[in-house]
Amino acid sequence: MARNWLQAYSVLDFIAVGMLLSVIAVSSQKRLESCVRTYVLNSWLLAAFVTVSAFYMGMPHLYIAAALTVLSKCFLIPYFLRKVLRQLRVTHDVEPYISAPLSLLAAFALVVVVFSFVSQGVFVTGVTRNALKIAISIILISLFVMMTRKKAITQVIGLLIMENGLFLAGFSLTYGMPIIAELGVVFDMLMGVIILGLFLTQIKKAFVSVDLDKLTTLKG
Amino acid sequence: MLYGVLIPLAAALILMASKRLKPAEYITVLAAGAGALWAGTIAFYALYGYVFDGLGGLFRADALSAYILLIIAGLSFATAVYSVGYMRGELSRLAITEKALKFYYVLFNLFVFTMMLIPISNNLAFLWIAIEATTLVSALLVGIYKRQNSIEAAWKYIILCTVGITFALLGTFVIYYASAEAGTGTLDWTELSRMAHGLNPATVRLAFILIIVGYGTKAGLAPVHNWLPDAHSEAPTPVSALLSGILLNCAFYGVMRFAAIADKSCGHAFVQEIMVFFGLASIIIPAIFILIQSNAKRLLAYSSIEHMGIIALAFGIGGVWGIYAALLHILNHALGKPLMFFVMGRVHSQYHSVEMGEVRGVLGVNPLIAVIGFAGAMCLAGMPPFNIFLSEFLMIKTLAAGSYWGIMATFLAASGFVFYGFLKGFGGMFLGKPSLEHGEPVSFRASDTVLVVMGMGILLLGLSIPGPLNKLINLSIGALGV
Repeated sequence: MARNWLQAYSVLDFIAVGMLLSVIAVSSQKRLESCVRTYVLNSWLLAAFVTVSAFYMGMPHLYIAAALTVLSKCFLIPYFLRKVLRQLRVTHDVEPYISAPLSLLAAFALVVVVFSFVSQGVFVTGVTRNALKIAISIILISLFVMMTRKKAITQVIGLLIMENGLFLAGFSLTYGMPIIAELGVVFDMLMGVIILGLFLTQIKKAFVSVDLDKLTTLKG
Repeated sequence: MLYGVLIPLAAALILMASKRLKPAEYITVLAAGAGALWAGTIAFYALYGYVFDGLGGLFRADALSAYILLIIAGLSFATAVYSVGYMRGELSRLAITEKALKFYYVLFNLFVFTMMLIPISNNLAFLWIAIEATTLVSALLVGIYKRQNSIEAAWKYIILCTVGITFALLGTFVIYYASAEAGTGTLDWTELSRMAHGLNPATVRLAFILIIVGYGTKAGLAPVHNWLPDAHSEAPTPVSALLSGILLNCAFYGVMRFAAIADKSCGHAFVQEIMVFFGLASIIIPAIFILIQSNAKRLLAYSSIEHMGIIALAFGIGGVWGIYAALLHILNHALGKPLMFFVMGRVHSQYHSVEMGEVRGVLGVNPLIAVIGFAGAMCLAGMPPFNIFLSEFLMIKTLAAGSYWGIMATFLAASGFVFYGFLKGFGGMFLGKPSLEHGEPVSFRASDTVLVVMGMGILLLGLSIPGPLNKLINLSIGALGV
């Protein structure tokens, strides 16, 4: 009964679209704090996607994956990011290389390109076939965000959102990997964020700034 | 048997607990020595066809794993011995604090641990986890001097490699999907290569492209190599040796395992096309950059890209001889490149520079280093009678046998550029007229022993391939299922 309802109203698609919209929002946001907040929203949506598909597909091990997502991406990583932000005492502006409207336009262009070029032929996964395209769009938009921002910390946020997109792709393709592998991947990512945070403070110390345009001495 | 991988992890944990520096050096050398013995034992058993399993198939060591493991463990041991003398020198010239140096040894052991996990991971997700873990640990090692340049290099390294490797994870998801579609979802490599013929070729093709972009970034294949020259030249010299000599091969090991599956599922032509593209790009691009380098460590870093290109090219051409050449080249490069970095470390501790314009005529000041250094440079440039010549010659023979004349001409032309770059750079550095300013000759006996042994190694392996090595490589080719 509830399953039919989920399918009739394409709940999974709605959640995935929510994730896409939040990523597009990041590409135009001006304040670092709101970027982090949107990342948290994005992670909650990812967890919701996993939970709903666990229920829909009747795969109980996905509930553990959802719990892992909530714990790591909704609590631990954002907590750590906010701590680093406070420590760095950076100004609150994102300082993009290009203006917000242009960045929005590019994000929309990427979505259009992905939707018109990713064929449905290779992946026939029924309910989640839109989720894959959305996931690829999310990955590309976050790459774009990483390339066009001045502050090192926005690269970290871009990377994290990219990983959310990756997990969306993973779940929509395979309904989750074996749980032990999942644990390892999440552990790696947590360590990654911690180490990136460490480097951020070192960059701040060595360059007296966290702008990436200072990091340009190594060339050729 | 596979629990031996825990040796370096245990060493790292002990070092975290202890406070003093001296024991840290000995424990690191001891652990690396024990690791090498362990890897040697596994390789010895592999010669007689033993395959070790662990944790219900999550870990597995066949002949190819044993071969790569032996290279990792052997080189780690050499690097650990070299590290002691070199890092003491760095400490005495205040390039690094005592606290940071202790942390260096902790990271060193962790780094060896994560690298050793790679060849024995039979589960593709574990393989990914291990490869990503090497990035995280080695980025900290690259940035350990905390200078502006080294932090910049480390930041670039960790960001670019993490983004790259994200694609490899997506590729792993896709291959899982392919297996689920064909019956049972699995990430077990043995299982996957058994069912490879039944996997949907279109899906596997996509997975392989994602994998080669992902692990290729980590393996330093052009055009996704931009982080490599910075990270490898800014890292402390022993770390540069590990990064160039073995870490690149570890990432390439991931590509090889996936290529074996893709080979069976979508035919060799597809794999060949992709690998030849990445191989040729990685041979041509650094050949140009090698000519304009002034810093010797950067030149060596570009040379690593070129050698990874040769390995990818030989592996891509495929067939028994192509893969043989690739595997042999992995060993040869893993001996020659760290040797050259070690020499650069010795030069740096004497001249406080590795700029090829500033350091000249080492021969008159430190003949041993100059002779080994020049031999190493000629070895990396692919000159006989050194070992790299042998594997490159094998590859050329394979190219000729398959009538790939265009590829062969490109490779030979690029090799010419590389030879000129090496001769120009290192000829003056080692044999030229001595520069007016040079520091006091310093000597680390243990480090020099390592240099002499490795120098003998590149010469002897250039003269003949020992029987057991030949057998191990042939068994490794069999393990890939060719």
